Amino acid sequence: MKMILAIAYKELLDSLRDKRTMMMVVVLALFGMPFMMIFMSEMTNRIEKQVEKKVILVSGIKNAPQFQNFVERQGYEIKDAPADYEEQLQSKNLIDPVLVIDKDFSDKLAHGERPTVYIVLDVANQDTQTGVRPLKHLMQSFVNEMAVMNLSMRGVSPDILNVVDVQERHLSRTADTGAQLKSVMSMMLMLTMVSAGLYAAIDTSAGERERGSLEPLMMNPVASWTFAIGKWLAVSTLTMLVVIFSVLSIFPSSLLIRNETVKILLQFSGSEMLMMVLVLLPLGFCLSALQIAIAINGKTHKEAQARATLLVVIAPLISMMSMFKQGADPVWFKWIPLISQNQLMTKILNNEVVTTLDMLAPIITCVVLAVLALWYTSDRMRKVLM
Amino acid sequence: MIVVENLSKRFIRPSTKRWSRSKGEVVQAVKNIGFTAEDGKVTGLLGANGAGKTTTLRMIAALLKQDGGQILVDGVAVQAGEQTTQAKMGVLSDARGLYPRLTARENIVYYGVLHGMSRQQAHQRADFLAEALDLKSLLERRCDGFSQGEKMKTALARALVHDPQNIILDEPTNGLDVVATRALREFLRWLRSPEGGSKCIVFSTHIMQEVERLCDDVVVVAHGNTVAQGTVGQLLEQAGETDFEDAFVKLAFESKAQLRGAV
Repeated sequence: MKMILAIAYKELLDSLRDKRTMMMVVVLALFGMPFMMIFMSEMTNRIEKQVEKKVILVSGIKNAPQFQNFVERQGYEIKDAPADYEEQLQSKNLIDPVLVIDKDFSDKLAHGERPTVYIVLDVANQDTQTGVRPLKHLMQSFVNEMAVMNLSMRGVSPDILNVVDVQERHLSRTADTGAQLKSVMSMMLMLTMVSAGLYAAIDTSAGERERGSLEPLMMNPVASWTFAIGKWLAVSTLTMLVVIFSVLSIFPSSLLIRNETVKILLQFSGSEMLMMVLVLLPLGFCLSALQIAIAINGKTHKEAQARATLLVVIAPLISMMSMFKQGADPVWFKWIPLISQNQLMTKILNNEVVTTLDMLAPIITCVVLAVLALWYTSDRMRKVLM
Repeated sequence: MIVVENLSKRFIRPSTKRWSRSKGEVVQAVKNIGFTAEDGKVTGLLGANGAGKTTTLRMIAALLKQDGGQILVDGVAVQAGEQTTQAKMGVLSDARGLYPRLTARENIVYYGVLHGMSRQQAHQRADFLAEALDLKSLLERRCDGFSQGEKMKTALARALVHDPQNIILDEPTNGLDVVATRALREFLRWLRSPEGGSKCIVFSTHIMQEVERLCDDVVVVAHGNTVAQGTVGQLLEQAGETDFEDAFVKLAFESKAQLRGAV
């Protein structure tokens, strides 16, 4: 144990003096979370503003005085769309969709025909997509009002249009509504972990080969597995430091959030933060072991970096699996690193019942993977010299 | 004391063709090398480039597994990957392999700890070696930017931190200037003396001058075979030459012809 700690101490000291490793650690630890939170807040702000601003862009509003009257009664402001609205939508100078009303709108309406209106947007201009739903809703309300008036004039009850009374009943669990937002953050934190110890892992394995220090190192009377564990401890420590600093940076980051809703939703309690760190701890150890195992076969930093990219690419793909699945989570999700941690975090944040299997499955998977990776590293450490 | 008997080692050189099915070319790096390096003596492994010196030293250091033969260090058989004999040896490998972000002292102390010394003992030993190798001014400096000589001295101090009885040096004078070479020679002489602990020193080189001036015993290696062994005087006599370089060429290259003839 004393030997393992001595190796870990040396590796940690070496990594802390490495500019590349430190840059990665500092950037991720200090700026990762604040950036993420500000990004979320700004996104929510943008959506809320679009909903709140109650302005619609219309081309040809003079052709539809009834509609103008209706819209103004709803408290909306109507703005005339510029003549070149198509170009402006494509060049993203316009961020709202444009409602186009033809000249014969009123005539057709008066004669009981169905006039066509167009909602014009550019799919590539993502901002315009947010405004489509309120605009459609407004049009539907207008159509309903017209239908109700027509039926009333003919002495028919407007209720004929509403044969079914549809109401939403929300099954919010004990629920903290911010749980989903928080679990997105925990997923981001996991992806941060994949990169956090990467340079340290490469330096401690492929770096040793590149600078020729692995050969003299292996001439010491120390078992390979002792080296593997010592190096792994150092990389894991760095990774977990990034996680702890990232979690701690949530407090000051919340001061930078401008959106009040997000600010309230992202208020983590001390116990939630502690739980987050504890859930991520086995994952941090597992990822570090995998990074070293992947990098040990690289003869140079560059080669090892190319190999380690595999992990950086696979991690988001794994996490995306959980985002795209439909319905209940399949059982095997419990045994997939990253997904299982995220599942567990979501359950904890939602105050759902957490079973022993929920708790143990991610730990068991991480331990098995870490042991396999360490065994592989210690085996390769001497073989790469032969 | 190090005893090497009938050592052989071959490598498979991977095929250069990426999609080739061939397993690669077999290279017999060491065919039959044997010698005895005694305590209190400097034994030189002399040979041209590619003669098999470094491969032999790597096998003695338990880094490589031999295909045949045996190596005994102080009577204990060396087994690749096993640490039993490594504690008895201090090896300065061809790749000096210092940690550039650590100071010379940190490099030395780290290896001391890996050899089971306490930090305090390792620090004391680092101070002693720094004095002996004229390293004191470098001790607290990071190794990044060290000259070849400074790197060699630091790596040597690191290899000797646990005061091993057997010292193996792979081309230690590579890249050193005259002054540094002389200083190293003096230090090795001191190590083989009773005051220095009568160490068993094996060092490989292809520089005749080094061998003439320092070695008590010389093992001439050519094409993976031991072709001659003895003192410098004995080898001159064996070759019938007065110049050691001529003697080496005769012994190494005539032996090659003889070996070819035998085949």
